[in-house]
Amino acid sequence: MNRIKRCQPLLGTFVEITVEGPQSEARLQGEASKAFDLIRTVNRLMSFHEADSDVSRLNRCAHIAPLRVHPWTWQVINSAVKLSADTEGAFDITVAPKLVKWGYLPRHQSFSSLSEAGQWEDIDMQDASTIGFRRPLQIDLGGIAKGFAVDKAIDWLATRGLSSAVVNAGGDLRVHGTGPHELSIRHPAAPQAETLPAVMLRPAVATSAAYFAQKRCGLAKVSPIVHPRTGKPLRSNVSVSVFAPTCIQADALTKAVLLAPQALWNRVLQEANSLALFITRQGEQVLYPA
Amino acid sequence: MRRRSLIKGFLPAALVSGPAVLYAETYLTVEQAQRLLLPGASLSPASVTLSSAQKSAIEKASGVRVRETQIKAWRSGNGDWFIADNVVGKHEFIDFALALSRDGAVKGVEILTYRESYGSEVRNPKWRSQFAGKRLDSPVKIDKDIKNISGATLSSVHITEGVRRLLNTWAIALKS
Repeated sequence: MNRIKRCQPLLGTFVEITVEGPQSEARLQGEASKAFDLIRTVNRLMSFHEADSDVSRLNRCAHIAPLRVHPWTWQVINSAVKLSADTEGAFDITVAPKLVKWGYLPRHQSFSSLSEAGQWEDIDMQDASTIGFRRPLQIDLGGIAKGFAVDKAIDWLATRGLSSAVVNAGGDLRVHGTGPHELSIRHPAAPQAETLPAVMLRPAVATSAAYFAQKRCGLAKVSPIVHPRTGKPLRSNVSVSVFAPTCIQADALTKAVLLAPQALWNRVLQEANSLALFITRQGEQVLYPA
Repeated sequence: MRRRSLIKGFLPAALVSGPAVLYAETYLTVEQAQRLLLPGASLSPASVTLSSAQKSAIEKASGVRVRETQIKAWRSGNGDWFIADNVVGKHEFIDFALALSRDGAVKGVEILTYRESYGSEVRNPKWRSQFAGKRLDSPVKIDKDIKNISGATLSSVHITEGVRRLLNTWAIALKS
């Protein structure tokens, strides 16, 4: 049995792939390389930073005329819009203008400041590859595309006769095959210094918290997690981990749980067969549903 | 109010000083990365030392400070390049490798060694017991021992800057 571990900088973070199987090390490296290629494709399609990604093309002109996009892009945006509907807008991919203003995303020349006005309801999902915006909008898939990329990599690795595979995109991770797949979650009060042991309750987990990315913008403290209704940044240091059957669910649901009213996210979690683990600054852990 | 927030900001830094535990994961050796990024290529060393004029030209063009003037580079028979370098991550060095085609296009980036240091705050016994018997001076071998870590996304922006610095290094000091 051989085992290899690789890491590449992708999706704005460090993506680590671990594969184990009876194949030779060279074969395992080849499988990992292919999985990285799939993640690179998701990155190329859905990056806010790259001017020729589907996301940037939509942001430039989907309010003028509907655009054809890659089926994967359509699928991710469709999942995002559906979650927005289920959480009454608490999860919303159209908060990008705020993130640009606070310096988390690059300002592209062509952006109009008017575009802050639109929200998720203005996204018009047409047939399986076409999307239009009813108003000028800026979307950013940073809260959901990482999970999708992890799923694409795992789905492919799962067909390769490996005994186990783990894809970890900077904390959004999914496992395949024989375990035990144990897990550590960063302590929100000391994320660089301490972690808490946890168990993979579902094949995928993602964690959201503001601790690594808080900064000052003028006099105000900001973070990249924005409440779509109030436009205010999340500043509390509570961390939420969601365990879900797939990583796209885990990734997106962490933001829904942080931002939506509890009655709503309880229902959404249940429908997705998922669990949410809260960790407070004091290290107390609360699991929903208990 | 202002002073209170300052004190809060400084306290954790004071707490975590003290003997740090180094967490290091070596994914690939330089030779392994060469074989993966430039398969089948025969590489010959082509390292250079940057002059101070080159150093400041690179800093100006990339907007990134050049800490190290020794550039560890290799060149393949058909003109591709391989560079091994490092950047400072959140606190510790991250070693990475960059492969470029003969015309300076990125062919791939691999992380070679990733390091994080954990301060004396590491008081969780279960976490700490993973390190039992591992010496600080030898890189901790992780493989089956250390678990997957989930947390808020760690940014790889330093690597992006490092790649930009090396692309300008290539243009200014390597190609010709």
